[in-house]
Amino acid sequence: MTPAASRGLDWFNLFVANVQTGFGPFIAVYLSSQSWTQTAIGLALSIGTVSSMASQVPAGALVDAIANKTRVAAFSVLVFTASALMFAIYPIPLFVYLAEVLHGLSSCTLGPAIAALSLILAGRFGMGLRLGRNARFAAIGNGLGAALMGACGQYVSERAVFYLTAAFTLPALLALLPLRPVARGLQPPAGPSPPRASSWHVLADRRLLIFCGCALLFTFGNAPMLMLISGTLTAKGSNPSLLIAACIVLPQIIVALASPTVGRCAEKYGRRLVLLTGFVMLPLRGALIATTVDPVWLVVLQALDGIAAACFGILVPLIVSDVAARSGHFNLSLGAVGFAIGIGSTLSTPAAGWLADHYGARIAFFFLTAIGLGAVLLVSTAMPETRPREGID
Amino acid sequence: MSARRDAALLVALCALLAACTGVRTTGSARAPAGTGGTPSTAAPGAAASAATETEAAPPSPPVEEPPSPPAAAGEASNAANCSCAQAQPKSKPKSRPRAKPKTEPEPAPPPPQTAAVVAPPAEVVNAQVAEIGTAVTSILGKRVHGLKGEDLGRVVDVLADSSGRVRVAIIDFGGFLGVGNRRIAVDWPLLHFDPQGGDNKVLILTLSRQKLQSAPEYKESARPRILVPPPDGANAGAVDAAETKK
Repeated sequence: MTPAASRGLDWFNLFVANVQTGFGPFIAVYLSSQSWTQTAIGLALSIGTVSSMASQVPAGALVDAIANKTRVAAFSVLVFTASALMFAIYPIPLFVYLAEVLHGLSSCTLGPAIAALSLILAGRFGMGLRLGRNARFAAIGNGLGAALMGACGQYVSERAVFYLTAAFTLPALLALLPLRPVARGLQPPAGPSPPRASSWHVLADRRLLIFCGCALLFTFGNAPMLMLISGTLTAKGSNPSLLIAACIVLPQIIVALASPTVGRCAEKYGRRLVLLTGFVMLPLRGALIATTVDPVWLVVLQALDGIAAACFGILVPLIVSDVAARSGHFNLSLGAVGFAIGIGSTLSTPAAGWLADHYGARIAFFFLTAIGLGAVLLVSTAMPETRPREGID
Repeated sequence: MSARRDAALLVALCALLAACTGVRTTGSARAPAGTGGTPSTAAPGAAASAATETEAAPPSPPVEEPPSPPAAAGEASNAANCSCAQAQPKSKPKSRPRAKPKTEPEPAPPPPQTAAVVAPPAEVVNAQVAEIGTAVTSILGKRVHGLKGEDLGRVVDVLADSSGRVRVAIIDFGGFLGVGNRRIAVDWPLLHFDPQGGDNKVLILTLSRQKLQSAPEYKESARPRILVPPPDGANAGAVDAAETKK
């Protein structure tokens, strides 16, 4: 039973990542092609951001309260189907705004549901390896999705991208089938042990709060990087679209290759070391980018982003499971970290854009480098090791 | 437990609603005075059309003549007409390049651009429904090609001056899957339709790809920096573009 379920979760990660690619910044391009004005597009995108930010923590609490995580995952994917079809069939403001809200909400239930299913499948001590596998398959899905949807938007039509997105939700649902008995049979650690701690108590855990701070700083420095790099490439490169595509796909290849190793290292050498390794990549990349003008180098340096993304993507659910897995509030805590990440990325993109406008991209890169150094400093001084010790726990 | 969850959801919904209305009010607050009263922001559709008006009718520079209120209203109705394809696209907007103003009881076909220069009458016009004399086509979202047929992006906005004349097209250029694209402002006369384009016309931009690539990104302002043809119109082949208007 478990190998089949494990493979099911692999495929589920892949197809979900595929689907999420369609809901990225491409929405702005699609709505432009449907004669939407820039202001209306901006409004639609803000609605999406606000709804996903606002529902992070409540959605985590909701997933905690529902016993059958497979059902949560399936339902979230069905909502994705509905949103993608709304975009594709009837892109009038009402449906686009509704689709943005629905997508924001169900993203917030899907992430925790995947993490919870991983925890049930692998247990606390196999979590690092399992998350490494999740990240590998999600990266493959992201890379393939970007390539497929880029080609689809270029050679078929913008609208077809959303039909493709909707179509990818179907194999995602099928991949969940072998996971049904897991969720039913192996009810999570809801045995006699946990007298459920109060949610405030869990959220006020010092380790969780410090980690939220680290995640916020890291995302603040990391999120605008791709935007700035691709802006530079558009202005300089001889074939900017291809170079930007490479900037998106290359880190995914690195993540797919490195994730299992990263997961193993996190179990073997501890979370702190892996987290530091990932975080160091950000200031390194920022500093190197600021000193080069060669478009090809800009793409090559994206490999560092792949390493950082592999470490960060695996350690977020891993550290949260260390801290909160036994409290019964795992998903709530994951939602809290997701909220911190959301704040970081939402605030930093306009800030970096403003700096780039007024003082040039180089200053913006140096600024992001400084933020990244701050994140490294915070991890190295304040973040404790959270790896559970087998004998004691 | 479930009561607490409900409460949490309720709080989230309230926050969402508040945020949305916040965004919306700032959006309409930015609208020029002439368009402020039109939409009552009841339905999202109305909100979108309000947004359209803010976008299509930029704050006009108070240079030549103080823009009289009727002129502003004319601009507003003009903008509303442009955006109708986007507000309720019952049919696919692409398949219908010829806009038919047949079932519109209100503002009638938009006044021709030159007519807007003469001060329009101050009272309500008794408009009638009629088919427009020449074929017209929607501009927003239109693909832009270079002289050799290369893809140069798409028109995402048009800017008019205080007399209502279209002056600038904003072209969204480059990028991959919505990452890394730039908006470039070009002088309206640099664009023309392909004469042999047939029904599904594309716009032709008489600029080289490199020129567009190296142009500064468009920033919203009353007097943006735009790409314009050289002053004397010499060397018509490769149109060189300079920047004007400080």
